[in-house]
Amino acid sequence: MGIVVKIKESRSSYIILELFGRLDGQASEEFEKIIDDILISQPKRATLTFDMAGVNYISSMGIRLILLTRKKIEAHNGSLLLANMQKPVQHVIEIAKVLPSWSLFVDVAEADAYFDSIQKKIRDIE
Amino acid sequence: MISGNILVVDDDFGTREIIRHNVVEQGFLASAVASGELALEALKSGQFDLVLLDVLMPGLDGHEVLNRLKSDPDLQHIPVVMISGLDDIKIVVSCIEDGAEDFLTKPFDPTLLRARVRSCLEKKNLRDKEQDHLAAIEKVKLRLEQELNEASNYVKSILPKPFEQDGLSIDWRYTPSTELGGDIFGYAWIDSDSFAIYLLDVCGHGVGASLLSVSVLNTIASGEVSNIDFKNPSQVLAKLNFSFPMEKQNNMFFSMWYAVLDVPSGKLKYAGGGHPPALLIDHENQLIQLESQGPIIGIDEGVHFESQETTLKAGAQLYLYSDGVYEHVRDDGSTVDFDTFQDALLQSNLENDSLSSLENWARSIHSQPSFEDDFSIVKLSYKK
Repeated sequence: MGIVVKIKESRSSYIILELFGRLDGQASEEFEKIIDDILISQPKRATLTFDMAGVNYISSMGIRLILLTRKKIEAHNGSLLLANMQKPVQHVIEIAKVLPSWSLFVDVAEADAYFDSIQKKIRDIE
Repeated sequence: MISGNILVVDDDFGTREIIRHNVVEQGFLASAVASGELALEALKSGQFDLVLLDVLMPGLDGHEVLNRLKSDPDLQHIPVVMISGLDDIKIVVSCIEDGAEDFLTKPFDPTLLRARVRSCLEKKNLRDKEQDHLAAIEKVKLRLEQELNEASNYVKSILPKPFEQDGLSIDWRYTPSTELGGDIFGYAWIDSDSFAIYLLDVCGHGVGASLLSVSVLNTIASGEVSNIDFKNPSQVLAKLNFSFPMEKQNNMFFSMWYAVLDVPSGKLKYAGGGHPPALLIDHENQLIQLESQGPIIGIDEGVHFESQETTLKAGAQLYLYSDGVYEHVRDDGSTVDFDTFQDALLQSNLENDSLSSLENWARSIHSQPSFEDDFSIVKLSYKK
């Protein structure tokens, strides 16, 4: 079984994607295309959150997909957040240190709150 | 345009010549023989695409010729159309059962003859093409297997040999999940006191991953990285991180754990990038995780790696490994967790051949014949 991606929430600058299944090499091409299609319609500084609750396995090729997504988003000054990771997946992500610890959240609500606080900061500056 | 070379077999001169004349008129090549014995002789030349075979002949009859042809691996692919009198229909049925393609009754109708000849030759042409394609695929497969085998032998040839000497011994297990793996490791004396040891795991496995792992290993082993102090683990990782950015390596990266042991004092300096912690089982059988502080190598140019230190006492065992050693999925779909692996390692460490014991543990987790990821583990035993 590969990876299934569902859009849970989508508004300007903020998208939550729900991921289900195995994040590995078999998922690569399809996954990259889905992410590209989503990012193309987003403004700069967009935040993408992966709700990882449904991901039961991540291989090094899965780490590569997380990394490539992070790099694409960061190229537009946006951020990638991960929430809701199962314990073995969290273990792999933490060892690899592919994302800074501030971008890993226990649940989606926590990631939402983080996004809102960032938006507020931007508004205050502007 | 279908072409073909047809063998006509009939003891009756008139019938034989009429059929031969008919198929030649249709544009095919044809030869004619008068007996079953001559037919088998002619077929040995391997030039015929179709046999038109009379059922009733003195000596070897048509049915017997058919049976011999169908039991010969070199000839059984040649289609056979039986020619018979109206009264011989029972024999014809048994010939069809024994592999004849079709039949014609005498006196035959030229249109029917034409139709059957063309249909048989079309089928044979298709089959020949299919055979050619299969042979071509088989040839490519064989070549790839030979090349992979050669590459795999190369990787094994550059891995250092296990050794045992005063103060230190090294053993390892290396089982790639495919012919070529993304894991690789090395160790070497830097000077008379300092011993460097490392293991790295390129993302994915197979040919692409292996090319990068070999390239990194050879870079380290040849000392090609400029101004590098191999006694300084954080510097080694930083230099490799700078030399192998993923953007220039087909978006591939690797995790790595590197250490230098000062053998007289037992002082171990180490650093890791995105790699599972090396596990130290000390002289009192306590397990200590020597964690990586840095991220995976090749993902960010500017990151900082930090060296850490610990001291080994006589009797300590240090294990470097890739995640393929502990990431296993059981038949029921559940995943082995890291604590279970650590327990298995502690248990195996008590055995004489701890690495084989650990490999047996890993193999017993699921019923798959091979590992899903590369299985690589290096054990350093400190005896000083």
